[in-house]
Amino acid sequence: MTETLASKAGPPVSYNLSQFPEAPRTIEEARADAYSKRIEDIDVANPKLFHNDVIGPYFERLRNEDPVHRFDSPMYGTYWSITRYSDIMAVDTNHKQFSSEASLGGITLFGNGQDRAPLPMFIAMDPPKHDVQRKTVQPIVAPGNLKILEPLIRTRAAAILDSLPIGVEFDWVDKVSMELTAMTLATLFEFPQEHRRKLTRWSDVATAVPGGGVIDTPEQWVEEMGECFTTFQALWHERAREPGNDLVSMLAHGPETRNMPPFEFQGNVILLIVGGNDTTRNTITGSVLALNQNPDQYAKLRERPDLIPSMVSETIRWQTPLAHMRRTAVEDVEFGGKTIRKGDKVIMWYISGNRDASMIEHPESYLIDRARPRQHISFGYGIHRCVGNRLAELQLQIIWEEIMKRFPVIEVTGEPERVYSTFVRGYRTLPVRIPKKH
Amino acid sequence: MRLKSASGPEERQACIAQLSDNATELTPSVGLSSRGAFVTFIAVSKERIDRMGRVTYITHDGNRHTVELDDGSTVMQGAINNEIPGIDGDCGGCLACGTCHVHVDPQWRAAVGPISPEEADMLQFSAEVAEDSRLSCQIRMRKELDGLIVHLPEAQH
Repeated sequence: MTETLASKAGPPVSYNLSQFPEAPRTIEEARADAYSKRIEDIDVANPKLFHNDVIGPYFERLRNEDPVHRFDSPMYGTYWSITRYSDIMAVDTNHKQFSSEASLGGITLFGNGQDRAPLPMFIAMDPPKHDVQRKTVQPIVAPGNLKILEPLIRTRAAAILDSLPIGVEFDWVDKVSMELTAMTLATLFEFPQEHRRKLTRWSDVATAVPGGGVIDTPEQWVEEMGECFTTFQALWHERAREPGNDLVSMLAHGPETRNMPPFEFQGNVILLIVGGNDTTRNTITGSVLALNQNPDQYAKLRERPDLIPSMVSETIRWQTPLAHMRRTAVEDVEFGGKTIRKGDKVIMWYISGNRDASMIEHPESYLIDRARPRQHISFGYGIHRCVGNRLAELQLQIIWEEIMKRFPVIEVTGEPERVYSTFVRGYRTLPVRIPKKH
Repeated sequence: MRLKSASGPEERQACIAQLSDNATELTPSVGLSSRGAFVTFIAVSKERIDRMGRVTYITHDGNRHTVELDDGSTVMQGAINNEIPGIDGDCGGCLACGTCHVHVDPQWRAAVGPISPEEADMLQFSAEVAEDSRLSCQIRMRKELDGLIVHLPEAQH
């Protein structure tokens, strides 16, 4: 096989899901397991623990007993788990000692500095290169552009909701979460709307573990992402000739990015596809699930629709659509009583920080009227803080404003199917029904 | 117990470390258990008033809010404490999020003083940054700033 950009990049993980140990089925079993192990044997980096949604007790124990936790993983090598809110914030803001650089392994658990260096992309860069590339694309989510997007998103949200079947079960992920976010993302890229679901597919494939239901083999990753890269390469050339007001044009014409190698352009495309799609999509799904699991909160929202922005922030905390971000220590660092060695992987578990009772009161509860709902850690802190956070909030607010105008309730009718990932905390399906009005 | 300024890397780390210390230690003692850690902290710092200074916040749509801040507390805290819209302060004032961006009125820029490299790092990604931009968690009330005027941006990013 000849080397292509996609084969050079390779999938984020080289092993199959079957290589991970089975995970407990219920939270009670997980709690028993988490507390019966020797603390040094706790390995949270198992996608099956996330798929079964039983990771909570393991993080709870680490936060309380070993908040800066080392594990030597057969899959990932040595990695440190940072599980407390303030420790995560300390690492996240310390980019001088904790690097995001792709060639050192980048921003997820999976990469390393040798054979598995991820694609370069601005989230996986340190200053000064990070700063200029981020600033190149940042105007797309600036207040002025959000004002332009707002009515467009609202019209689309209304059309999606008006087309939903009433009184029968359907998949919320497919019909609503994916549709709305794919439309928005296609607009940001000026990508043909009729092919928008390709973006969704590529964002799923980009972070997929072979065998986890999205793709079967690493070769499939190379094939599908190859199509993504070819498509975006063509878009780049097109926009280089005739620029529009879109992300590809911004990259193709920005003084700091117009000469970037194809490899780096593709890395940034993956970043913008995953960052601009998966996260919001899964939080939209999570909002329906959370409100169904907490009917008192759903009732409160019906009484007080002015709580929508606060509910949105609480859902972003509750969902934590990206479970972790990773850094690499560039020198030996004393941290939390441990010595993190130069080159070690440092995993900031946002999902755990968002359940830290020392920062968030009743962190296990979903409460849509918290005093400081925005004080969650899902967007990260420091210079890599989520660039699209306001667009994410905007889409969630709009869909809920439009839902509340139409449907007093959306009923979850079965269990969601979650993804196999220690990175993207998401859903493949969520069965729901909108009851007929009487 | 007052939060230190987070103007350098060490100060920022100290500020972050204190965020959760304050959350756990102070929440019960001030009887604000239903409120977040951040609000609790302000409630405590208000008890230690020695001197005050006035700050005027002019919102993007032109509304003026003048409040008194005790010496040492920040312009961000003043806005949050008085529920002045337009400043978010998501990170609690530790120079970690950039959502307390303000434009310092021209006549006050010299008095406010220079920006630290860490603040500049964070501030560069805020929306509509200009020469007069600062993060208000880094501006502490002191005698020379009594009467300070800041202008709030259209949105915090």
